[in-house]
Amino acid sequence: MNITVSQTERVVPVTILHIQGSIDGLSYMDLVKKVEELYENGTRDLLLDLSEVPFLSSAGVVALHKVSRIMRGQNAREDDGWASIHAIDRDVENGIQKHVKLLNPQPKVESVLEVSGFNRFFEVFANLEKALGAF
Amino acid sequence: MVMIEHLEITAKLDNLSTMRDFVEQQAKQFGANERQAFALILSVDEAATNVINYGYRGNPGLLEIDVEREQETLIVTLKDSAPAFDPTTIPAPDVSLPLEARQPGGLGIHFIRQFLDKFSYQRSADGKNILTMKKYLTKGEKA
Repeated sequence: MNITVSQTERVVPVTILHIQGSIDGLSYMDLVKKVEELYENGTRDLLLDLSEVPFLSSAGVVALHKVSRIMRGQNAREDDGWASIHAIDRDVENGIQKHVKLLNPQPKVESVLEVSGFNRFFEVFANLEKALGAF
Repeated sequence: MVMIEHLEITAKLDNLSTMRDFVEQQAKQFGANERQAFALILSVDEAATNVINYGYRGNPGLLEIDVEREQETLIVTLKDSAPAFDPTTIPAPDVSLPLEARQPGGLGIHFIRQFLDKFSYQRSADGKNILTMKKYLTKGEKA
């Protein structure tokens, strides 16, 4: 998996992560570590560009949940697997995730997000400008 | 006519992409559309990840994957020699359970149940875990 970072600003400064490659049991912690590093360096709003992610497993879903926790200033190491699903149900009651949004997931990746219920938690955009304007 | 393809590979996370590519190639060769192939790719990835992380637990081991077509059913079989473990006994998600009650790898099993048509386990006489995953080709949506 390869991650490139770019910064842009519309309403607020947004960091865009362009992820290339699969998010699986091998690579998911690379994404989490990258986001931890960005948060420590001041990133507060994050757009994950998934257009070049051909595959995402439950490990990827866990990574997305950890990312959402990091961006809320919470401990990302607490949860794994099932805990993500439990936590998402709790989190959905508190409203949609404000500081992390998803851009352009491929249909197969979107089907995994649907099955995990994560599409209720993350706003998903097909258009970059709309995504940036939503922060 | 029964068509079958076989892969034997070291059980490590670095090999997940090779396993996914193998299943994708064979499933499509045997007539699966994109969605049907993806269901099998995701399921093999989840099951293999669980075996590597919780079965072999870092110890060296092998994974054997067979992809076959029997009439209108694609069947992927995953075999390992890790301690006996039946993933089909993992319960469906229950959000009322406390967090501590969850099982590691359970989320992957949940995905397998959602994406496949059939999912069964047996322990062979020679001490292998055999996971059989089925996707019906006739029921499939268009790619």
